[in-house]
Amino acid sequence: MGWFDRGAAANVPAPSPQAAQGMALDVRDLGLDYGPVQALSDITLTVARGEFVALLGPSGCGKTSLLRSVAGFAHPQRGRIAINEADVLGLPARRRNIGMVFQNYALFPHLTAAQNIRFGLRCRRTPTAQADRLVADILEVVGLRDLGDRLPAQLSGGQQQRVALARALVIQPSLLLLDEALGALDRKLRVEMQAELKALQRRFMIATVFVTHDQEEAMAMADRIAVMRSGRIEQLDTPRGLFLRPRNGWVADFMGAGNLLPGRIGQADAHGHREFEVGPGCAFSITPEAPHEGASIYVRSDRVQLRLVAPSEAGLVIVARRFLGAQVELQAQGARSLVRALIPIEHADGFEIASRVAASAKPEDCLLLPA
Amino acid sequence: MGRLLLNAVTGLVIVFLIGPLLIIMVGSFTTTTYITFPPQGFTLHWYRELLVMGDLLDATITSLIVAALTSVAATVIGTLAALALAQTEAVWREQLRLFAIAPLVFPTVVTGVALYDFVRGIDLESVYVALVIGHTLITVPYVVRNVGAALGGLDPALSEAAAGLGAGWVRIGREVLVPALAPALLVSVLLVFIVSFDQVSISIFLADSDTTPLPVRIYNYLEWGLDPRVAAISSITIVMAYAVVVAVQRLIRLDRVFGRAG
Repeated sequence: MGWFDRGAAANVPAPSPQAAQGMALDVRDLGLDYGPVQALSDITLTVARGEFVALLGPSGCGKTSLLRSVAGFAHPQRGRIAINEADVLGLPARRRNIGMVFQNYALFPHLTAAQNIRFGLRCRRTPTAQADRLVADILEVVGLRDLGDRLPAQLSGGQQQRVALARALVIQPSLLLLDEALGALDRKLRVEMQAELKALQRRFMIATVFVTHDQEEAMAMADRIAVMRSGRIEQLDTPRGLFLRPRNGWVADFMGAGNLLPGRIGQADAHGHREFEVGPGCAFSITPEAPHEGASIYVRSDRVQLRLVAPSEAGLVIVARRFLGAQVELQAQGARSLVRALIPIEHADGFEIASRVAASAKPEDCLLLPA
Repeated sequence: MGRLLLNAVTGLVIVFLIGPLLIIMVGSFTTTTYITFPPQGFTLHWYRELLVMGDLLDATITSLIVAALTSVAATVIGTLAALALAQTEAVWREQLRLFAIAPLVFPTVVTGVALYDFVRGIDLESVYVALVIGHTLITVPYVVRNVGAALGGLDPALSEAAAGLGAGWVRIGREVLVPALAPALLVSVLLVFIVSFDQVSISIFLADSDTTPLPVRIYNYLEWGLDPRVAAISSITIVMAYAVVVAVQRLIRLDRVFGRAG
């Protein structure tokens, strides 16, 4: 079903291979104030050519402000932005050679799909014959070959999305910027578009910055993710890095991939493993190499070990059970924390709702974090 | 019961609004030398009389010219003002908007007196210019409101998308703003034209014997009595105005614009 496989569309040239060195986007110590509010502080970030970076965070974290600063619609007071090694901070948006896709697509309503796509080429005074070819080719690539003469109002949401993408790509921009571009699609279409967008990006090797508030979406698409909070980057890492080693409790909690369990460091045993007291029924410990102080541990759901206990023992109560196919997700409520565990289906018998369990994990699987 | 009342009120409103127009139009065919309703007899005599009344024809042309110039001036000034108001982040933006709308607040007679004083003060000789200034003054608010409303409904992302693709402000104006504002602009021109053509209370202070807009001339004639020739010229302008509105409606679906802008 991959529409991106249709047609050769070899006429849309890729960015020149000589430009392999250097960063497509280089942001240093960026600061942006809106009056008394600091929308961005100390933002430092690079995007290599062909790389896909997601800006992820809750509302108000500054991800859109950062994207708009790169695009040229917001004007930071401090720091530096360079696109393909060239300083762009004084440059208006139209001179930055960016391709931007907005959440509501922002298609020109009185122009057809083909005319919309052509718009950027006309601004660059591309000769008509060449422009015709480029437009036809990109329509083919995005799978809208026969729909070029339709007005946006005559296209479905997904089709409008592709026109917006085509319009941004056909001008061969240095950077592709997407502002929650998949936000308006329904779930099924959204998941499809994630794959297609990623494939398209790979094909054209365009450096891409993608704003989203959806962790799953960011993890699925990005080479690296900048997790942002209150105008700062909390952690800039690969999806794997964020999953295995979140830097602090907030990131772990936001990514939602595991358990963030507050507690206290207790006594060490013979091997130097210190107990981490979470509550009755929980037996977690941390390795000797872990820091001396910490307020919580992060434990992946699939590394939590559960064992049924007798009513007389301290324990947690299973309050939810979700069948996920190869795994079963169990939620066990303790005195102070809710522990989520992912158990392989083969071992899930006996763990029913209202069963009493004890939770534990190996010290290597418990990551000690500051608050 | 409620519906009956609503229909009754609507019917009365239509009667009161359309009634005087009908009476004038029908009364222009009377054989008597004064307008009467119901008319006695039927004649086109008074319409023929119009052709020899140079002063009425001159006044009509004066009104048309002033209205045309005012339409252009008010639409341009009002549109620029609306654009500026939509874009500015100044703290006093709302006050500026109220300032632009202010001429609507003053009774036009008051504005007329003030303009008379102003025109004499700067020794303005051309009555045409004075009339255009006066009419533009009171019609700019309509344009600011209409175009401002259309701008409010415009997606700001459209201009940004155009800019991101490489468009300068000229291209953005031409290819994004004008198509989106076209209905509002057209409605504004129409509205300004009608208001200007109809304008009495300011024109009466600024006109002189050589240059008089039609409504002022009609007003003068009416001081002498209910002249059927006045009814005749009035009927013609009523039909003209109606024809213009119908034509525009056919062209750009005016009802849809009003229905949407509210």
